[in-house]
Amino acid sequence: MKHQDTTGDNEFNTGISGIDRIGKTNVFQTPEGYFEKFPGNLADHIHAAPSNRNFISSRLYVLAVTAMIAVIAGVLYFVNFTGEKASDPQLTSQEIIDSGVLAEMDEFILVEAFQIEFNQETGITDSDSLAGITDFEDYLIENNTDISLIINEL
Amino acid sequence: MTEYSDSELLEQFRNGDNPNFAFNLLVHKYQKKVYYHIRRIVIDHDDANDVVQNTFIKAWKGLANFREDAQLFTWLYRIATNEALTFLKKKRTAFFIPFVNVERQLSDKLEHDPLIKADELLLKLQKAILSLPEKQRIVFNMKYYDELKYEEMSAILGTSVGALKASYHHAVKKVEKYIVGD
Repeated sequence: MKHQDTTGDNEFNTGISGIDRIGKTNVFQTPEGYFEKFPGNLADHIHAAPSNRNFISSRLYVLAVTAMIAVIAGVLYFVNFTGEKASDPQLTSQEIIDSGVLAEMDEFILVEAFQIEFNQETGITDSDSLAGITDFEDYLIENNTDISLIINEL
Repeated sequence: MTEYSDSELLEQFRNGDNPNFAFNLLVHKYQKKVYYHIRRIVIDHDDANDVVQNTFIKAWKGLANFREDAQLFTWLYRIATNEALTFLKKKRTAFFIPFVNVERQLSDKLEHDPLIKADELLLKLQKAILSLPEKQRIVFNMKYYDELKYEEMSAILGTSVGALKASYHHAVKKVEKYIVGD
């Protein structure tokens, strides 16, 4: 097939004779009936696309919200629990005695230390004993108990 | 099927009772031109099919706002070219494939794809075209196969007519050199 410049602007086209020899035969083929089916397939695709997109975007929205909640929960946990533990570790009675700062101790810390040792001996878990600490503290306040008695007990 | 002019198709799409039908006519009118333009860029049929679909989906979405200061087929070609180039770019990025290797993959496909029928000389021509830089390859295909005017190519590619003429001239020289000198 002879190449003809039908565009009317054949400047620079003079050197094309080498390619002319080969011609413009289309080497690319399509599956049978491709162009007959394409408009229908495209129409299906176009009309299916919005619902798919809504479904995908709604799933993405749920995922994003879940991830955000998880991150916020993680940050809150870290700030409220991990940080508190790091700055206020639980002490054993022996550590309190060794530290030599008994006089400056908060009653609650002493009560907590007493409770921990009591729990270790009796096998009561932390969650079971949580209410007990409060009760014990209330008892000490209501009865105006001398802390030195508890220290001696420890 | 009656072939409508672009302005008739646009009129039917915008103001007719059935824009779907008007768009279907537009697809029938341009699908082969768009398909082969894209196929020459991406080589593989399945890839071309995806890119052609994306092209017409974008056209469907944008047709209501299409301004008639450009020709409809020029606009479609521009979308098609951008989609095809974006596809190749994504292919490189997704698989971390260097430019040369993508071209080599496409060149290998020419030899082994059952949907490509070419004798030795035609195959050599296609390989020569594939050896061109990407933009130059598109310019060559648009001029040589699609026989577009430089003004039309300029509107599609956003490149000056002078630069396109020079690009095509260099492309032809390189292709000839590849065929003769190989």
